[in-house]
Amino acid sequence: MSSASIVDVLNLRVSFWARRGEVKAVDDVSLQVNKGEIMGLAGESGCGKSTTGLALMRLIKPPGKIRDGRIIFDGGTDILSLSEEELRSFRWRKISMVFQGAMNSLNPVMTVGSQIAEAISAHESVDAKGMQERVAKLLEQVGIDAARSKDYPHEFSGGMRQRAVIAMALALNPELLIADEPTTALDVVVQRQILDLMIDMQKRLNLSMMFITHDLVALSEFSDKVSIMYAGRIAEVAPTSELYESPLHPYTQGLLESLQGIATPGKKLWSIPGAPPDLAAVPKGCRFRPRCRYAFDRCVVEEPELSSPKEGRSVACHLVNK
Amino acid sequence: MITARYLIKRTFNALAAFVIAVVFIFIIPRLMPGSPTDQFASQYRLPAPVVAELKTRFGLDKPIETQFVLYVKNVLLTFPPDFGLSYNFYPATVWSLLVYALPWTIFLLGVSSILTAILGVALGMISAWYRGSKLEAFISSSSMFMLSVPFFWVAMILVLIFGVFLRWFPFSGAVSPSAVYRGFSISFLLDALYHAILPILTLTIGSFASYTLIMKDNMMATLSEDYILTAEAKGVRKEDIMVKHAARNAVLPVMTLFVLRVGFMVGGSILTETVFSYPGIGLLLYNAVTGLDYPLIQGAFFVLAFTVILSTLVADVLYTILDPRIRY
Amino acid sequence: MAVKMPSETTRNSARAKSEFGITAFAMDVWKHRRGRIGVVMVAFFLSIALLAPWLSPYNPYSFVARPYLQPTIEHLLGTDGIGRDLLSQVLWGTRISLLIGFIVAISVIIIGVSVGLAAAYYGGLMDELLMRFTDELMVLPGLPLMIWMATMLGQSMWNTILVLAIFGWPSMARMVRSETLSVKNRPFVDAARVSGASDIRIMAQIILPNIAPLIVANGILSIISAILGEASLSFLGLGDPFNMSWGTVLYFAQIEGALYNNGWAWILAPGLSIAAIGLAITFIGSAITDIANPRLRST
Repeated sequence: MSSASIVDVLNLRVSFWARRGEVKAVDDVSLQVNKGEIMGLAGESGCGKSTTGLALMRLIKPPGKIRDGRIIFDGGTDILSLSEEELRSFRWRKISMVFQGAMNSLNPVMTVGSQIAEAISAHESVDAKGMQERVAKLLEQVGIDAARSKDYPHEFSGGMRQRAVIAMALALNPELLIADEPTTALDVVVQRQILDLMIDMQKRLNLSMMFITHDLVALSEFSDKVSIMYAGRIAEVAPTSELYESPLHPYTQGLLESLQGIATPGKKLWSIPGAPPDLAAVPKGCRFRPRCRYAFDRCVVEEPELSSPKEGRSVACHLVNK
Repeated sequence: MITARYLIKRTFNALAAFVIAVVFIFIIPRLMPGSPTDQFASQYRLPAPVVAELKTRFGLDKPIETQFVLYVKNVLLTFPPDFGLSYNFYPATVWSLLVYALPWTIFLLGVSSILTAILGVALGMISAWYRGSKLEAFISSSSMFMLSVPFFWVAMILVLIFGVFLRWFPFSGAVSPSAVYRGFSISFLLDALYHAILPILTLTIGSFASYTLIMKDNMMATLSEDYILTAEAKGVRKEDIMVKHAARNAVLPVMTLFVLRVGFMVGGSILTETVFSYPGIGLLLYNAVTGLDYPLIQGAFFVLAFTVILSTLVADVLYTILDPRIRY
Repeated sequence: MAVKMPSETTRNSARAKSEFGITAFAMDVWKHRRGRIGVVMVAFFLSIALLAPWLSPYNPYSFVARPYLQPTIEHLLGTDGIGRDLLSQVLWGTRISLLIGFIVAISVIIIGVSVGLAAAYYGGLMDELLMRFTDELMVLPGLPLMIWMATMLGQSMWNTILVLAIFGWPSMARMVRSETLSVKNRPFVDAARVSGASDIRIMAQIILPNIAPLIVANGILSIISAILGEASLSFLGLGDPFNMSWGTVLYFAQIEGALYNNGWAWILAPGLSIAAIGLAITFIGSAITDIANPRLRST
C-alpha cells in the first residue's frame, strides 16, 4: 500500500448466487491504481472485470454480494466499511463511473442537462442559474453545445451520449474515474473520438482512471499499466509497453498472439483453444491450465498466486514464479 | 412530443369511431326481430291500433332510409340531440332524462377514477419499495383478490357493513328522497356527497387492483434498468430515485391502462348504480334496456359511446404529452 | 463465429420449442408456490362442480324450509327468500359458473388468436380492417352492449356465453397481434418462408408456439373476465333462472331483499366463491408468466 495509490483493492471476493450454485465472479483480486495513472483492466467477457469496477463503488446488487476484501481509497478510507450515508456522499465526488452502454445509463424521460445537474445537486446545493452554468461548462468541455442540455437522451447520437455521460461523470471533479467499456457500442470513428476525449480529459484534470475493456488494442495506446484478468482472478499486471512486448503469463501471450493475425496479412487467425471455466465450479489448480500449452504437474494441484518477478510486474503463473 | 399532425390523426380516428358507433346504435335495434315498437308492444300487450299510433308517433312507419336520415339529422346535426320521447317515461324527452342522469354518473366516475389512480399507483409504489416484506405480500395478495371480485358484490358487502350493520351511510338514491333543494346549496352538496360515499367507495375498491399490480410490475422493471444504477452511483438519495426516476417512468404505462379501463368503469358504474339505486346513466340504461325503451336506449348508448371515446382521446393525448419518447 | 445457415436456425428454434413440452411446463407450474395453490383451488372447485349432485343436501330449486333462515346445521348457508336451500344453490352454481367461464374462454382464445394472427401475419388491408373492427368493439362500452344483447336474445345460458364471447375476443386479438408482429420479423420466420413453408404452417407451427405462453396467460385471465362477466349479467337478471350460477344467486339475493333480512351468508358465499376461483386462476396465470419469461429470454 503506497501513498501514491488512489485506490488499493485487497483480496476482493464477489460472488453471485444462481440456481447452479455460488458463482465466484471475483475470486481474491488485488490491484492498485496509482494517482494520475490510467490503469487498464482487461480480459474476456465474464472474467469479472466489470464486477470489480462495480464493486469499487459498492454497486453490486443481489443476487450478488461482496464477500470479502478491502478497498482502500487514497490510503485512508476502506470503502467497504462506509455507512450508507457516507457511501452516498462519497459516490461520484471521489469516484465516478462511466457505465457500459451510455443509452441505458440515461433516464429516457429526463433531459440530459437535468441528469447532469442531478449529479451535482445530490451533493451540493447550487442555485438554478449557477447550476445551468456549470452544466453548460461541463458539456462544452466534452464538445457538446450547451444549448443541447434541454434535449432528451434519444435526441443525441451515440457518440454524443457517450460524451454526455463522460461530462456527467466529471461533474464533481472526482479523483478516480472508472470507465467500463466506454467505446464498445460505438462505431470505429466515434470510438477514436471518445478515446481521444478521455485521454484529453485525463491529462487536463490529472484524473486517475480505471479503464475496463476487452479491447487490448485501445489499451495499448494510452494506458500506463494493464492488469489482465482471467476467470475472476488477476493473471498479470505490467506497465503497458512491457506487457505488449514481453507478456509473461501464457494467457496474456495467447491474447496478444490472437491479435496479431489481423495486423499481419497472410497470417492465420488464431484464438486460444477452449473456453474459460464455469465460475460456479472452478477446477482445482490453475484455472487457465486446461487451455495452457505450458501446463505441468504443479499447475494441476496448486493455484498460482500473484508474485513479482520484476519491479512493477506481477504474474500468477507457476512457470514464471518458480 | 406532440405535433398537430398527431392530434389531427387521433381526433380523426376518434370521430370515425364515434360515427361508426352512432350508425351501430341505429342498426342494432332494427336488426333484432320485430321493430322496436313491436317488442315494446308485445311485452305490454297493447292493442293493434295503439301500436299503429305509436309507430306513427315515433316515426317508425317510415322507410328505413328515411328513418336513418332523420336519425342522423336529429342526433348529430342538431343540438340538443333529439332522440325523441322516452317510451317508459313518456312524455319526457330522452335528452332531458339523459341530462339529469349524466352529471351523477360523471360525478361518481370522475371522483372514483381519480381516487383509484392515486390509490393504485401509491400502493404499487409502496409494494415495490418494500419488496419482499410482509406489507408487500399483503398488498399483492389483496390486489389479486380484488381483481377477481365483481363490482356489485363489493357494493353489496359495503351496503351490508356500512349501511345495514353500522348504519353509517345511506345506500339508496343520490340525495335524500324527501329533501327539496334550490340550486347548488351547500346542504345539497353535502347530502349528495353523503349519498355518494358508498358508490364511490365501491368503484374505487373494485378498480384499484389492476393499477396496483401494473404499477408494481412497472416499478420492478424500471428499478432494474441501468439508469437507476447510474442514479445510485451518482449518490442520489433512495427516495429521490424511487420517485423521480422509477415512478416517473413506471407511471406512464399506467396511463395506457387508464385509457383501457374507461369502458370497464362504465360497466362498473352500471352495476354499482343498480345496487344503490343511484340515478345515473348506468341505472337509466339498465331500466331502459329491461323496459325495452328504444329511444332511451339509443340516447343512453350514444352518450356513453361519446363519453368513452372522448375520454380515450383525451387520455391518449395526455399520455403523448407526458412521454417525451413518443413522437409522431 | 461462423454464420448459421437458415435451415440450421429453423431447426434449432424448432428443436428449442419442443423443450417447452406440456408436461415439463405443467411440472414447473406445480413447483411454483402460487401456481400450486392455484391448481389446488381450481381442482377443488372442479370437483365440487362435478360432484354437486351428490354433495348438495337438497334440490336448489325446491322449497324446502322457511324463507330467510340463518345458517343452521340443516341449512349451512341458510335459505333464500322463497325457502330454497342456499348451500345447494351455491354448489350447483359452481357448475354453471365454471362451465360458462371455460367455454367463453376457449371461444375467446380461438377467435382472438385467429383474428390476431391473421391480422398481423397478412398485414395491409386485412390488418387494417380487422383492427378497426376490433378497436370498435373495444371502444364501445362492453357491459351496456352485453346487457342489451342479452335482453334481446332472451335469458338462456347459451345466449350468455355468446354475448360474453363476442365482447371478450377483442383484447385477446390485440395482444396476439402485437406479439405476432414482433415474432414475425425474426430470422427464423423468414427462414421458414424461404424454405417454402405454407402460410398456415408458418403461423401454426412456428409463430404460435412462440407466442403460446402469452396466449395461455391471457387466456387464463379471460376465464376470470368471463366468470365475472357472467356473474354481472346474471346479477342484472339476464341469466338463466333455471340454471342458476353464482351471479344468479346474488341476483335473487338483491331482489329478494337479502340486505334487509340479514342474509349475510347468502351474500358472502357466492361472492367469495367467485373471488376464490378468480384468485386461483390469477395465481396460475402469474405462475405461468413467471415461468414463461426467463425461458423466452433464453431462447
